[in-house]
Amino acid sequence: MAKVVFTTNLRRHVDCPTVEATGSTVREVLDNVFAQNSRVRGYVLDDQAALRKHMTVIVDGHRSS
Amino acid sequence: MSNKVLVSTRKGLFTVARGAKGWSVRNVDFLADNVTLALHDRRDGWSYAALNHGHFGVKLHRKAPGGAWEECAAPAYPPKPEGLVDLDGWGKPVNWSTQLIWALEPGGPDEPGHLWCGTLPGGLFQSRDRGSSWELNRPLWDNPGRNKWMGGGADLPGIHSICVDPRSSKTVRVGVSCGGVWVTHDGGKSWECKAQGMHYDHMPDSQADDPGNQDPHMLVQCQAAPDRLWVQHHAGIFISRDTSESWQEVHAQPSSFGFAVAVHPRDPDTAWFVPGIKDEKRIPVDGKLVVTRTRDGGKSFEILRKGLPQEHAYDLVFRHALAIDESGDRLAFGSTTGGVWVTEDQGDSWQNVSHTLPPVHAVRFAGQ
Repeated sequence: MAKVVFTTNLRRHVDCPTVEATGSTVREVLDNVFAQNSRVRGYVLDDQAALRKHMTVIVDGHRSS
Repeated sequence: MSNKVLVSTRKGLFTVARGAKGWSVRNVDFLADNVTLALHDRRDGWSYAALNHGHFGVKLHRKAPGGAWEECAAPAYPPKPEGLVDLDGWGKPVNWSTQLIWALEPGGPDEPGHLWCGTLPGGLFQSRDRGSSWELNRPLWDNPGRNKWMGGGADLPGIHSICVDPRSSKTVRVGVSCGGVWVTHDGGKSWECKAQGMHYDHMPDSQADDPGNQDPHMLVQCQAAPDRLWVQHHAGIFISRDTSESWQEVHAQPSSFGFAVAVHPRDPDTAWFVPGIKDEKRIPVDGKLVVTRTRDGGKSFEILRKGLPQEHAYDLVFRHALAIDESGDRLAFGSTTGGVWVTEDQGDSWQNVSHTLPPVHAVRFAGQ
């Protein structure tokens, strides 16, 4: 189970409180979060489901590639 | 007669309204956010605001009459087929992802809730439910001519103008930078490029007259005489008297360079422009901000300056930042340096609303 925390500048635009989600990869975890909160998906991913250009994902203090 | 103007700026959506003492800023929504375009749909009173959050992408919000703003769906491209080579006119791969909402227009009066939306990187979208969902117009997107489109000032090509013909909602014309004017007569099932007569002098001679290479900055159509269209082109001003079948160039003073154009809703010979020196010097001639107006179909132009700054003015007016209301008497424009002006006498005199708003992307009249 992963704890997913969104930055405050993102939370200004869309309601995305800290949640817990399952998954064995970052993609699976995020997909499970987006399944519960579809609106935040478009703020994080672009139309082709790629991470937006200026976004990054930090896992346990390390940038996820 | 409209008493309200929506001013889309780099730092919010400002509502300018007419009161007993003239025009003033009445309200701001989305303060500090980049509002790139707004629309007030006169058919049903709904309003729309396009935002570009940069890091977080392009969003669309809407508001019912008397209601509050709510986020709705933004136009989104379908998954790009794996292995597909899709290049723009520069030979660069096209990213199938909305980069900017660059045009937003209501459909015809017989199409309630129907919206058209033009985007960077060149997709045209339709919504039939006031923005709850969007569909990419595939016939235009899949047209091989689209792969000739290229970015100009923007890195990517895009659709910035949409004119729904008042005689038939199935006839729609779109302006593309850079890619000419495209028209459909069957509601978007098929499209043709109609920019014969335009001339782009930055291209090699062999390509300067190619309709698909043209860079119309803005396309407008006279509502009462829809055979007449006007284009402020990168290379000058063009007029069509035959519903975009052919185009002729006209020349304005002090300059024919600019981005915006407005046409009178009932008099097709009357149109307004806000000139800059030239593309490599995008500032008013001699530091004097002026509007030019023709009343004879481009044979002659008047220079309108009463109420506009005539000393050290370096305002540029973007393509969506000049608007005319349904009366044809009131116009408004906003500038890159945060100036907003309104006229109630077709431009003979202008009232300044503010010198200090954020950079203005677009203005739009919004009824009462």
